[in-house]
Amino acid sequence: MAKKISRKRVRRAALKKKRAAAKAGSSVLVVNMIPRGLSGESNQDSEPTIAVNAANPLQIAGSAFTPDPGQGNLAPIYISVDGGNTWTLNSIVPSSAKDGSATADITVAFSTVSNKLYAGIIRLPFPANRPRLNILRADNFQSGTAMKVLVDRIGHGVDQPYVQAATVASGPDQGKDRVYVGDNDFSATPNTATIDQSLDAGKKKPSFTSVRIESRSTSGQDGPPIRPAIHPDGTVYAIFHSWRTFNNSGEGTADIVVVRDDNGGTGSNKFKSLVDSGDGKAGVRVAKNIKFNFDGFLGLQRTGGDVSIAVDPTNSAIVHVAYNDDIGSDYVLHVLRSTDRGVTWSSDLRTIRNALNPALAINNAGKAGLLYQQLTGSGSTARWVTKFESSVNGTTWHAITLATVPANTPPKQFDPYLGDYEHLMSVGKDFYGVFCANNTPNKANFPKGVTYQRNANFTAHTLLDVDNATPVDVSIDPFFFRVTG
Amino acid sequence: MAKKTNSDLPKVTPAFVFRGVVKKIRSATMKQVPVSDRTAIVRVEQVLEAPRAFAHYEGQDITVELAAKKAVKAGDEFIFHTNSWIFGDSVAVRSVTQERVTKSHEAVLKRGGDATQHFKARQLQEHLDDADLIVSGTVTAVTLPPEAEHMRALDAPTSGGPVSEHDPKWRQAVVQIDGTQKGSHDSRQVTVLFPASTDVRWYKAPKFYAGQKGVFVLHKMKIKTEEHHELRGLAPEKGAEVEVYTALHPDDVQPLKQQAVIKAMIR
Repeated sequence: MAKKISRKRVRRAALKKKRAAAKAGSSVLVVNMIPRGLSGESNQDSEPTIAVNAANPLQIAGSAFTPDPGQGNLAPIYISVDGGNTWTLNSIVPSSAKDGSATADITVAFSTVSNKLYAGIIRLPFPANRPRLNILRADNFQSGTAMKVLVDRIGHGVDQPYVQAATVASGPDQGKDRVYVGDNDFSATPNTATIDQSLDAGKKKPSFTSVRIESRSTSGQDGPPIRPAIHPDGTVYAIFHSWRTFNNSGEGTADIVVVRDDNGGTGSNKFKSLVDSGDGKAGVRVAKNIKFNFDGFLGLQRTGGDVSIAVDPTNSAIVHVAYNDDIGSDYVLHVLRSTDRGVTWSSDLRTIRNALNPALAINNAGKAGLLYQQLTGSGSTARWVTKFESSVNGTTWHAITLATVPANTPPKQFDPYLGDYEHLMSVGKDFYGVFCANNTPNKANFPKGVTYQRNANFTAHTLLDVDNATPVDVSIDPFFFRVTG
Repeated sequence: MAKKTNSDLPKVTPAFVFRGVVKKIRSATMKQVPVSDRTAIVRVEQVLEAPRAFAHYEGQDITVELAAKKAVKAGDEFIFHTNSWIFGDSVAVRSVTQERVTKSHEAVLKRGGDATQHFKARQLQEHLDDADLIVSGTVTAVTLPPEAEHMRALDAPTSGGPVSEHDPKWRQAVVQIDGTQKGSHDSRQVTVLFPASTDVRWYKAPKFYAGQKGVFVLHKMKIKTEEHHELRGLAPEKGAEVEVYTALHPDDVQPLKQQAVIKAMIR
C-alpha cells in the first residue's frame, strides 16, 4: 500500500513539474556529449550532426570530428538511448588508424520507421585531393557491428555528403527507405551539385543513382553545401550554392538555388519540378549573385557556404531556407519562406549579422526553429553565442541562448573550428539539435543550464581527467539540446 | 567505382594490450553494451600497451567482447589484444585475440615502463618499417609546386580542377641531406611534397619550413598528374604519372636528437 502512495506521489510531482514547465514555456535540455570515460580528451570535436529515430525518439545518434580514442580502424559516433540525457561513443564507422581514426566529413540520419541509421562520410584515407565518398548503413546502431558500406566512390573527388532519410509511409513502396545524400561531386564538373539517392536503401544491396541538380552554367563547379529536405508525402527539396564566378583569391558570387522533386526522385525528370520563371531553368534562384569568400573567416571559423532548408511536416508547400552572404565586412545570415512549394519567396524573415551555421527545422505544429552561432564583441571579449529561435508566423521570433562562450579559446587545432555546419531537426512537437562550443564548465556560459558527463568542477571552471583530479585543457565539444515544442 | 565493402579496412595491430582476469561471463560494466555470450566483465590487472585513453584502466573492471566463442570461465587469466568499442561511464573493448598467460609472456610482463610509451614506440616502429627513405638534414626552401607558381604569377583563375575545403594546398620542401638512415637517394637534396592545409584532413601532417632540421621519414606516392591540376608541373609530359616523396604522418618528422634512436630502430 505504501508503495502505491509513493508511486502516486511521484506521478503527481512529475505532472506538476510538467505543468509548471508548460506554463513557463518550452523546457530546454543541454548536454555535453563527451562520456565520463573520456574526461581526459581535449580534441576539437567540431562539425556536429544528430539523428533522432522518429520511431523511438529515445534513440539518437550524433557525429563530429571525434577520433577513435583507441586509435583503431573504426571512427566513432555518439549514441544515446535515453533521449539525449546520456551519451556513449561507439566506434562503428570505417576509417583508418594510420590516418587518424576519424572521418573528413560525417553526417547521420535515421529513416523514419525502419530503425536503420544512415551516414554519409568522407572516408580516410583518400588519395591526394580526391575526397572519398562512403554512404553507410547500420541496421542496429547499438550492435557494435561496423556500418555496412553501401557506396564507396572516389572518381575526381566528392565533398561534404549530407544525408537525409525517410521510410515511405504508403503506396506501393510503403516500408522502403529512401535516402538522399547531397554532395559536391567533382566527377560532374562544371555542374557538381548532386543528390545521390536510393529508393530502397534498406535492402541487402541497394543501388544509388547520382542525380545532377545544377541546370545552369557555373564558374567551373558549385559550392560544397547541398542539403536535401524530405516531406512524408514524397516531396523532396534541396538547396545549394550555385557558383556563378570564382577567382584565385577565394572570392566569388553565387545564386542560392532550391530544387524540388514531387515524386521523391522516382520519375525521369528528377528534381526538376521547380522551374525559375526568370530563365526557365530547373531550380528557383532564391537569391542571386550573393557574394562569398571561400577563404574567409568569421572569428576562427571559416566561411564561404552556409545553407539550410526545412519543409513543414504538415504541409509540403511551406518551406524555409537560410543562407549567408558577405555584405561589406559582415557575414550575414538570411532566413526566407515560401508558402507555394518554392515558387515564390518572402523577403528576409530574419537577418542576422555575423552569424553562421544556420540549421532549420519545422515541427508538427508548423512552428519553425532556427539554430545559429553568432560572433559578438571583439578581441579578447569576443564570444560565440549559440541561439535557438522559434516562430509560428515568421514575424515574431522567440530566442533562447543555449551557450555564450569565449570565441578565441581554445586555440584552433584545425579548420573548421566549430564546423561547416551544425544540425537541427524535429520529431513531433520537439526540436532536437547539436552545436559545438568551448567546453569551459561555467554555468554562466549556458544560460538554460547544462549537464556534463565528463568530469568537471563548475566552481573552479576546470575540466578534470578520469581521476577527477588532474586538470584538462579546455577544448571544443559537441553539445546536444532538446527544446520541447 | 571502388568495391563496396568493409573488408578493405587496413590491418591494424590492436592498440590496447593488457593482462586481465575474467570476472563474469555474459555481462557488462555499462548498460549501453549489448550483452551476448561473448561479452564479459574483465578486471584489468596490468596495462602493457595503450593509447592515452586506456592508460588509466589498470585495476578497474571493463567490458570485453571476447575474440571467439572459446571456453572461457570466470577466473581465467589472459593477455588481451583489443581495440576500442564503446566509451561511456566505463569502457568496452573488442578482443582481437586473447592468449592464456604462459612463461613466454614473462619478458613483456616484466619489462616495466610506461604503457603509453610502449604503444607509441610500437607505432613508430611500424611507421619506420613502412618508410622508403629516412634522412637527416635541413630544409633549405619551401615553394609552391611548379604549375601553381606559374598560375599564381599569371593571376589566372584556378585551372582544370575544382576547389574544396579539403584541398591539401601542396607545397614542396627541399631537404639538404646530411645523412641517410634508410633507403638510398642519388642526390644530396630530396624534394618532399607536403600539405600546407590546416583542414581536418591534413592538419596533422608535418608543416615544413626553411631552416628546419630533423630526421625526415619519407614515403613514395604515385600521382596521376591529370587528376591533380596543381601538380601538373611536376610531370615531364601531360598526363604522366610521377612518383614523389611525401611526409603526411605526424611521425614523419622527428627531432634531430632522435637520430640515434631512430637509426637503432631501423630494420
